[in-house]
Amino acid sequence: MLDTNVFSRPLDDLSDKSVKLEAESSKRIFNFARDKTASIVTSEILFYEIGLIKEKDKREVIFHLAKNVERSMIMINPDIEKLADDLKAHIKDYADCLHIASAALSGCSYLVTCDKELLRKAGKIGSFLLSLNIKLHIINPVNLPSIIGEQNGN
Amino acid sequence: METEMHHPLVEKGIAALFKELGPVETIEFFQRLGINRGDSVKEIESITEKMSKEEILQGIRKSRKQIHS
Repeated sequence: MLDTNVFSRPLDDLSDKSVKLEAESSKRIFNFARDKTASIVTSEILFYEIGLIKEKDKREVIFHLAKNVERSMIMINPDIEKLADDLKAHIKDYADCLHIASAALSGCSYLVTCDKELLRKAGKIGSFLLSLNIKLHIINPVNLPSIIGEQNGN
Repeated sequence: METEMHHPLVEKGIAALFKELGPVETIEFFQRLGINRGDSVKEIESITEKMSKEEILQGIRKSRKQIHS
C-alpha cells in the first residue's frame, strides 16, 4: 500500500535532492505496478487525503494516477477503525493510523511512505502489529525498488 | 473533495494520457507543464493532524460517493 505522499511526490517541488530521489523511486514503483511486478493497493483514506490537496491540477492528476495503478481499494470498516484506535497510542495523526490499519488488515507486505515521523516510528509500529500477529513493514519509496529487485532475483 | 476532480472533459483527457503513455510518462508530461509545487507531506499533514477521528471519518463518508463513481 502506498501513502498519499508517494503518489503526489513526483508532482512536488523537486529542488530538494531527497524529495527528487523519492519522486524517482515512486515512479519506479508505478512501473512495477504496470509490469505486474508488484500490486498496489489503495484505500479510502488515501482518496480522502488526495481531495485535501489545494492545487486543483495536481489533485486531479494524482487522483487518476492512483486509480490507474491500483489493483484494489480498501474500504474503511469497523475492524480497521478498531486497529486505528489502538494505533493512536503510538501516532497522533488519526489519518496515519487509518493508513497503517488499512494496510495491516488487507494483507499488504509494505506501507510505503515519505512521512518522516512514520518512518522514524516504523520499528515500534511494526513490533506492535507483530504482537497482534500482523506483519507489515513501513518503508520509504527509495527502499522498495531494491527489495522488489531482490525478490525477483535481479 | 471538489467536484472539479471529476470534470468530464478533464477526466477523459487524463484517462487518455494514462492509457497512451502509462503512469510514468503521464507524470513526466505534467512535470513538463510545470505543475510541480509544494511539499505534499507537509501540506496534507498540516490539515489532518488538526482533525479529530470523527472529522476524518465523516470526511471519508462524504467523499465515498465520488471515489466510487
